[in-house]
Amino acid sequence: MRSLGHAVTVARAFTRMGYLLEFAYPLAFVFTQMQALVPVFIYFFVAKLVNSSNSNVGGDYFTFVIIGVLSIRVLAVVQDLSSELDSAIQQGRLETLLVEPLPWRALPFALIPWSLIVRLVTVALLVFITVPMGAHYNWSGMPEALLITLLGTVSTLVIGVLATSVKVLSKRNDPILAVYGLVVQVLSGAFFPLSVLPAPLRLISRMLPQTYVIDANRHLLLLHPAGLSGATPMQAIVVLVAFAVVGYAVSLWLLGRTLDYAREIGVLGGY
Amino acid sequence: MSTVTPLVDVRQLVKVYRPSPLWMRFLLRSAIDRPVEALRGVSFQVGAGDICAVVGPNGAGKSTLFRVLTGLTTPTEGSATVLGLDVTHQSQAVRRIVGFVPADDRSLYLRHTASENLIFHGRLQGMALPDARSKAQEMLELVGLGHAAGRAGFALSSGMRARLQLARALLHGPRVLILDEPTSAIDPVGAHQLLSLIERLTHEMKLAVLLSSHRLEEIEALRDHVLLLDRGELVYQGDIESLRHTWDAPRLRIRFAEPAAAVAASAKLRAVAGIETVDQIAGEVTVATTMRAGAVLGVLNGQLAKIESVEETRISLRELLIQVAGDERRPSQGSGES
Repeated sequence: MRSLGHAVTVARAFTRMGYLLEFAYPLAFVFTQMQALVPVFIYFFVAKLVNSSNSNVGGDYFTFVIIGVLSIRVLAVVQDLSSELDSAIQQGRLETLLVEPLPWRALPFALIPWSLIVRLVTVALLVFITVPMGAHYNWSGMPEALLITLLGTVSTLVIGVLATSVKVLSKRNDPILAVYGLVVQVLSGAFFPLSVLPAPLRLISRMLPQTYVIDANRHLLLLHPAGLSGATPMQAIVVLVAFAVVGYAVSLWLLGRTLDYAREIGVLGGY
Repeated sequence: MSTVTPLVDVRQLVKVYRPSPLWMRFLLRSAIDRPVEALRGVSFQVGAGDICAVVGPNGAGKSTLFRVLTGLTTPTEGSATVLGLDVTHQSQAVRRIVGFVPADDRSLYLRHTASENLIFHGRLQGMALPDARSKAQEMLELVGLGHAAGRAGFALSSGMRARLQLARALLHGPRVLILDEPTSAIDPVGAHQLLSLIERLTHEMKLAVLLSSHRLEEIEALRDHVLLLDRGELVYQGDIESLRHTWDAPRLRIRFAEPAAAVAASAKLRAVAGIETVDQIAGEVTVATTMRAGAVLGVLNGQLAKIESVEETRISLRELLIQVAGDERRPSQGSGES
């Protein structure tokens, strides 16, 4: 219980530093958030070309794709974990962090709360911005969608913990996360229904936690979800919980082994 | 060393870095292609109130020793304990009682204020925010940075950053303080002030301090204990006076009125048993010997009238350390007291 309290204090410390750092460069912060508008505008125009009457997009392609885009935007917090570790390694701060009496395996979780908060706030703003652009949401489904998105974030962090294990040794895992990010973009169904994918690719799609979050959020937030394929919210919750339980058991064990090995060969905290 | 109850106890410490196995080189490229013995059977103790200066050339094993003590790497053989806690298996507990000042001041958040840097690390130590705030201010006052609490890291001078790093290392009330070249980026005056501060805090807080430096005048000024490492081996441990007593042959510098006299004198001196070295440059002859000055001058009986001056000098610490490190006859594990 005491170590859980310590872990929460550590996470709050990193959140505070993230906040202070973000607002130390206000213009950069504003422009970074404005970049989030780009896909919204792109799909606003693409939606004009797509036949929205197709039932497997819920009768409204713009809302369908925006839910997908915004869902993966939150879940991409795993990429921020990689960036945070990178900057700590490159700026020479990692060694100082590691000599603090922290449980090292808690570091991946401590590094992301601020990024998650920023992403959630950005997504909330985008939801409101897209309403006058023609998106139609089932507002009553928002609380459940938020919960499933948070559960999906917890599940997706399994990938972040695995990536941290690689980074502890290789110092850079951007290629791994970049490939993972591309797979998610193409196969999670954010931009089109999974039914358009060939069967073998659909199999890979079903291994990604993002797919379940997007499916569930569309069921919850689209006004006419009847024709949608994919996981229902309850199915998504079951899969995401199972993914998290199995994933953390494996990834935390692997991270522990990797940290031990990095200590043994003397690369922990190095560049 | 005064080690009634050693806070740091290192015994027969060996660290061998091995190249990564072939199968994982796609993931991790080794910087080495054969095993490297970074530490070879190093043993020493440091007690409360002791400052132990760790010196040695680059690659001597200083950083590896510090990394073992802070839990960042594990020993291949031997053991190291801090307050009885094993650095390998009780790493997190050890890190609660060890403060570390890295050589690199980039480890600070330079965009954040001095105070925020300390508050952050206080929180990592598990302090509540109000406690971290008051402790941060207390530590800033302690290191003489109370007036700079609100200044961003990048706006601090190198000396102030070094003090801020010291404050950060002391924040959680450690019993052991490890400083990796804390004065490397500071001007001599700032370095002197920082070392004076470290000395004062060591005695006031009864810390066990391990400090590495390439500035030998600083090591000499500390007048405490020295660990001399060379290629992973501990070649001397003890105080500098004992080191001098054991290794320093007094030097006699004799200046002659003309070079020819110096040449003749050096030829005579080289033939005398008990004189270790004779160096002659122009009109000056430098003799290393344990003989009394009078006995040396007695050898030069016929040339005394040509001597302009005689001066007894002590070898510099730099030369002394080079001499000890380079001597094949040195006893292993040092010659001073432990």
